[in-house]
Amino acid sequence: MPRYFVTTYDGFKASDRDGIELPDLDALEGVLRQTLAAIMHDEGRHPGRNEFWADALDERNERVMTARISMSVARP
Amino acid sequence: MFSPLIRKLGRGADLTQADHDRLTSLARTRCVGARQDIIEQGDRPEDVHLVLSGFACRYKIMRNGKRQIMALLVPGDFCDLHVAILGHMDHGIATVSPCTLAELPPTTVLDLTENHPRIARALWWATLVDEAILREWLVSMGQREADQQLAHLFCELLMRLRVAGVADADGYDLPLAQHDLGEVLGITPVHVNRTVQALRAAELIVLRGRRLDIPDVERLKAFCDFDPDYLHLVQRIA
Repeated sequence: MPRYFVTTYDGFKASDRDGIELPDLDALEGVLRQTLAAIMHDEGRHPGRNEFWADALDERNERVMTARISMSVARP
Repeated sequence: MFSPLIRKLGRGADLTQADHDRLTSLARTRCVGARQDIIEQGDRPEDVHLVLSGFACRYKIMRNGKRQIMALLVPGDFCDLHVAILGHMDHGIATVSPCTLAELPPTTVLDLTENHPRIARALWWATLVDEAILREWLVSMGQREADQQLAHLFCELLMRLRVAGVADADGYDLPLAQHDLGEVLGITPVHVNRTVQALRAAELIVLRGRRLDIPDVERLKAFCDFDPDYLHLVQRIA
């Protein structure tokens, strides 16, 4: 199975040197969606933490996916 | 080889030398490699397993192949003391790292509980502590953010492994990969990596390979609001 190396960003950058083995890009998309949703669930409750990103590299160090989740709060 | 069990059960009851002798004469032992099933969901349980060295886990596999770990079993822990009462396993138990296990036939468990009152009391204590740990994990999954949840797990393991005599005052060997930690916490390995790095950046932990060191245990406890009361390490005063 291919190995992907995902980095998440917001206040700080967390790169994964171990990588994760996944069957295909659909599975990778599932992981990125679940991860960013969980990060938003945990950290989005803090004011000012409104946007989180992730990108994934393959074993040749080429970017194969990016993902972003954001929240906006308005007080009209 | 049985010292983790004796050390642990000694927290639950005042065991005598005769009790120690009975426990050290328990049944046969066997070595099992890492990531091997000890018993699978649906199996008919017979022998009771006791972890003497290494880490094992209690788990369920979902239809989509995802696995949830509901308990970590460390030296001195029984894998379901009274399981022989049940017709079949509703979950599986597997090793995480290479393990030494003791296998106790149901007759041995019956002897321990019926003929050795202090051991029986200690075994009940151990069962109640297992349930208390499960409750705390439920609280963690429902209420703690991932960084606090992971920190809480690290604090809990420090306490449990120290009781078993297999940890230092501020660190221990942690044979769990990011993937395993994700299955404990219910988060993706990517999220585990981010969480580990956040704890590391805050200088709350030092994780090198499979070794965890905690520079300031009280600071880590304060960070995740860890209160060891649920481990019931202090005996009730009659």
